[in-house]
Amino acid sequence: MKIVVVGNGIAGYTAASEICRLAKKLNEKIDVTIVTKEKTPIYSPCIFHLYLSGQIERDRLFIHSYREYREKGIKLVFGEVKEVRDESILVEGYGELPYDKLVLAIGSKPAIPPIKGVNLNGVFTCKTISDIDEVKSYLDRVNPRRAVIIGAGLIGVEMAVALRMRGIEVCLVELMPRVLPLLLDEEASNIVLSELEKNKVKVHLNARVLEIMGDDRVNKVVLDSGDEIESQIVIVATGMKPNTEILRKTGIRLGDRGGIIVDRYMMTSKRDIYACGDCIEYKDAITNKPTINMLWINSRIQGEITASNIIGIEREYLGEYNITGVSIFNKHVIAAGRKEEELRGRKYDVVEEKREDRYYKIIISDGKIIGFQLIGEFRVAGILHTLAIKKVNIQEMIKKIELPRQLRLIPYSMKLI
Amino acid sequence: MKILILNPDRCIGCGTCEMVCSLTNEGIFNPTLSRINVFRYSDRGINFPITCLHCDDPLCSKICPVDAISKDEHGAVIVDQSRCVGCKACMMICPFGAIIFDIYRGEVIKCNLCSGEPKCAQTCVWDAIEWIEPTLEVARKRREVIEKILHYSST
Repeated sequence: MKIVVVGNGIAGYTAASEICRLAKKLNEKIDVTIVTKEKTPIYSPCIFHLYLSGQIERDRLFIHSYREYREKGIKLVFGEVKEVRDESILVEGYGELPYDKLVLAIGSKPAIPPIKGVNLNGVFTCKTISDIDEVKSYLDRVNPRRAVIIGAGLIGVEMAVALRMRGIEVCLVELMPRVLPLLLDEEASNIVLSELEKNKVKVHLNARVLEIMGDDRVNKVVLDSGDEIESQIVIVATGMKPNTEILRKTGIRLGDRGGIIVDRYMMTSKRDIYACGDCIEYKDAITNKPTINMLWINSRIQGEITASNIIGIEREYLGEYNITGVSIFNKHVIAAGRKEEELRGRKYDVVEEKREDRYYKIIISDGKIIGFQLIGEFRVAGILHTLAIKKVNIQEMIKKIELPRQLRLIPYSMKLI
Repeated sequence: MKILILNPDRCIGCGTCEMVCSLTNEGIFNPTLSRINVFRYSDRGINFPITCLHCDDPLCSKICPVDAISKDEHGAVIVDQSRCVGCKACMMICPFGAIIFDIYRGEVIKCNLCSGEPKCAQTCVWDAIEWIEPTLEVARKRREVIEKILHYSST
């Protein structure tokens, strides 16, 4: 069986790698090829900010060597996929590559707002290793005094912290009224804002960038408030969208946001084509609503399930996780599931406590945990997350547990009080 | 193949496991570097030893952005310390909260089953930690323990 995997991110690599491993175990002859337009072995974008801050060296970004691909039996074809057909794909520079089964692990790309000047020298996104190499080289060459980061989501905040750690002045510009607006409610977000400001990151909220100005490179960013920020480097971190443009005319079903729709066996609307990673849309593990949660762990799990189903061992995908952790100087934030803000009009309970060095909020609806936000707590996160995705009725548990005060889940939560 | 079994009903909170673990792995007595921790609730007379239970399909391994976590030949889930960047994603996802952060090294540490002969199990005189073949008997007993602690009945 000839299997072609398009994409060399963690979803594609995991799918290819697992197919080879399972085939070897079952003594099946298969032929696995990864097609990628990037000329490097797989790397981890999750730790780009640790490299830019100077905490790790560049070689640590590459997590599996070409030798490992060879040892596992994964073939590589370098080139961009131009067309996806029913029994083959067209790869630029290579030609037609036939397949029996195709895995689309084509990932996501930055959603860049149409700001005047966004194409100026010195304006970067942080999606690929090539982007990061450009940023690093620019930082070393130009030695910018101040950076403007557009977008205070996960990537924006991580980059703000990383650049601040290099001693660069940082301005974070966010459209919404708070930082990490999609991750956190107001209380937790304010704690993050405090920590950013305490470390001299200037934050502009409810702010839109009107224009990025400069001559041979960026020197100023203009906001809709009229504020003009002198800056020598701009990072655009305004979100990612599935990289599925090439699938538009193929008949492969896409969701509203461009994510490839897959069933619980990771199969697309075309029988021999599977998909996994940032490019897909599937139900959320907690809410059951269709979602695109571009997380490393989701890509890993999806890659494994895709491989299993291709080999012939049926496995179902139970849903995308929505749990994120981010370190902001001395505060570590973990958020999962729904926010209180999304629940207007619905009945729910909140268990919340703020202390000097810790904060937690747990949202319970219909007796089940549907979301939580923690600051300074780690070990209880996995337990809360497991209870949430398994939809355990906490209220039933609490009634039967005789212990003093508030929420009594399992041993760890007692540590919170 | 043996597995690690924790029996909170027998744990008296003495912390010997914490000492033995840190001594074995770090060469010193330091409970903050122990890969097994006892959570003590003296007001309730309950003690919970918590450590990695070496999942068959470990979530920590899947979330690690540098693929530093894998299963070794003893079935232990281990961290390749040379790869770990200390991002704490594994700590966040572990359903038992069993992964610890080593503040000195800036990396996570976890139970590695002492290469097949876990010292905590060997040392615990109360049998609160056992290293035994899993049987139906054991599974039944564990359920009894949990139900007793939580005053929770499945009926």
